[in-house]
Amino acid sequence: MRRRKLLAALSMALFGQHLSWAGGRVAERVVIVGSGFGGANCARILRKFAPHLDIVLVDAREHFYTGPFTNLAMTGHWSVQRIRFSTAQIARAHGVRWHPAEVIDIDPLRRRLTLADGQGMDADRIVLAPGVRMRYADIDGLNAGNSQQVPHAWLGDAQLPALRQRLAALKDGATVAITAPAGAYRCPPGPYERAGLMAWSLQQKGRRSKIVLLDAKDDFTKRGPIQAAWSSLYPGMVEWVPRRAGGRVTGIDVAKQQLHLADGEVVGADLISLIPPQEAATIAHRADLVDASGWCPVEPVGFESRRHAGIHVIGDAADIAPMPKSAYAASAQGKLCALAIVADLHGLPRPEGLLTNTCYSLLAPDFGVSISASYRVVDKRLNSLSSGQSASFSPRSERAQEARNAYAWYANVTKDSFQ
Amino acid sequence: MSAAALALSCEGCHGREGRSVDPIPSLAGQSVEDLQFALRSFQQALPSDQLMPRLLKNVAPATLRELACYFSQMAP
Repeated sequence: MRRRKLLAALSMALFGQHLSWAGGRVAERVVIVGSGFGGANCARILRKFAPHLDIVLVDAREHFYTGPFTNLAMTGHWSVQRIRFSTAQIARAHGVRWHPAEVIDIDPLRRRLTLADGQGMDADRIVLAPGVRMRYADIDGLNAGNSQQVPHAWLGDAQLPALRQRLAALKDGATVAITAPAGAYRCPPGPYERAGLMAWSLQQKGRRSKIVLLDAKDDFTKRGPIQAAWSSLYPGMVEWVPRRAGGRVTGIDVAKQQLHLADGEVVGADLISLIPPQEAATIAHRADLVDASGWCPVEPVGFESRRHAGIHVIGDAADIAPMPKSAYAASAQGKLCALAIVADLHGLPRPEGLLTNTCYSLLAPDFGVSISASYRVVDKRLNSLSSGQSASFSPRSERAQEARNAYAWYANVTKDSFQ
Repeated sequence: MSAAALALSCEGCHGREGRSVDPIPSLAGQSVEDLQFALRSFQQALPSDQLMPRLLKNVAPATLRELACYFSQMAP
C-alpha cells in the first residue's frame, strides 16, 4: 500500500498526473539487451514506474565488469572482484527477468529477437545497451585472437587478468607502450589514466621504467591536469606522442611485440596495451541500427533509434554527442529512456531531463582529476550547457579530495545501478 | 520539466534518492533553504577547481529551486 502511494506521488511529480494501469490485459513487454550501466538503470526505472510491465533483461554474461576502476584493478591496488557485479543479482534487485543468452539477431521491423539458445522473443519495445566492439582490422596484423597478447582490457574482464599479470611481472627499467585510438570510443580519458596508474605501479619498483603513449589524436580530455600529474608524480616516465608527432599506430607485429607507426617508425616494448578503434557492438549492426559513422543515431530525449521506431539505443553504442561514452552518461540515458517508454505507454509527452556527465580519472590511488558537463535539448538537438575540468595546477590536497570523491562516486553509482 | 526527471541525473553521484557515501554529501532530507543556498553558492563561485560550480554554471535558477524542493522531501 505504501509502495502504491509512493508510486502515485512519483507519477504526479514526473508526468503531472497519476498513471493508471489497466488490469487484466496482457502486459506489454520491454526487452533490454545488456546489463551494464545503461541497461541496468533502464530496467530499474522502468520497473519503478511500470509495475505491470513484462521486463526482460537479456545478457549472456553471468557478471558485468565495470569500465570505471578497471585501470585500478589492472594495478592490483583493487581486486578484479571489486569491479564485478552479478547479472542475476542485478535482475533480482530491479525486479525484472534475466534471460541468460546472447542475442544473435533482431528483426527491427517486427521487433523480434533471435537468441543463441535457439529461442525467439517478441517485444513491444527493445532497448539496446550492448556497448562497443573493437575494429581490430583497422590495425594491420591485429585480430580478435592475437589481441590478448597486446591486451586492451577494454571490454569487461576478458583481457584484464592478462594485462594485470604482465604489468606485475615487469621489472624496473621496463618499456611500456599504450596506444589511444582516434574517433569516438568508450571512456575517452581511459588510456591516459592507464598511463598514470601504470607509472604508479612501476614506480614501486624504481624510477627507470618508461611509458610511451602513442596517440592517433592531437588532443585529449583533461589533458592539462593529466599531463601535469604525469610530470609531478612520475618525472620523465610518461611520454605522450600525438598524431602530429607520428603517434598514430597503423600495424602490429604481435610475435615481435612491435608497433608500426604511420611515419614508418617501429616501436618495440616489453608490454604493449593496444586499444583499437571502436564502433557499436555487433548486435546493433545486425539490427540495422548503425549508420556510416559506426554508431547508432538516436533522438535526444528518449534515445529512440532514428532508423527504426520502437527500438532505443543507449550508452556507448549510441551517438548521443556531445555526451561522451562514459558510465555516468549511460546511466543517465538509461533512466531517461525508461521514463520515455513509460510516457509513451500512457500517451504522455516524454519528460526531458537534465543530462549530466561526471568523470573522474585517477593518476595514482590518492590523486584524482575530474571533468563534468550538463546538457539540454534545444531545437531537437542535445547541447552542452556547461562543462569544465580540474585546473591544470592545484594543491595536492585538492587532488586527494577528488580521489576520495571518485571512490564515493563509484560506490554510489554502482549501488544505484546494480543493487 | 519535472523535478523527478531532473533529479535522476544528480543521483548518479549523490546516490539513489540523494543518499550518498561520504565524502559526497547526501541531499536527502536537507532543508530546502540549505540546498538552495548551496546550489546558488556554487553558481556564484569564482572559477575554481571544484566540480559542482562547473556543472551548474548555466543551469536555470528555477531548475535549482525544483531540485532543492525535490531532495528536501526525500527521507534522509
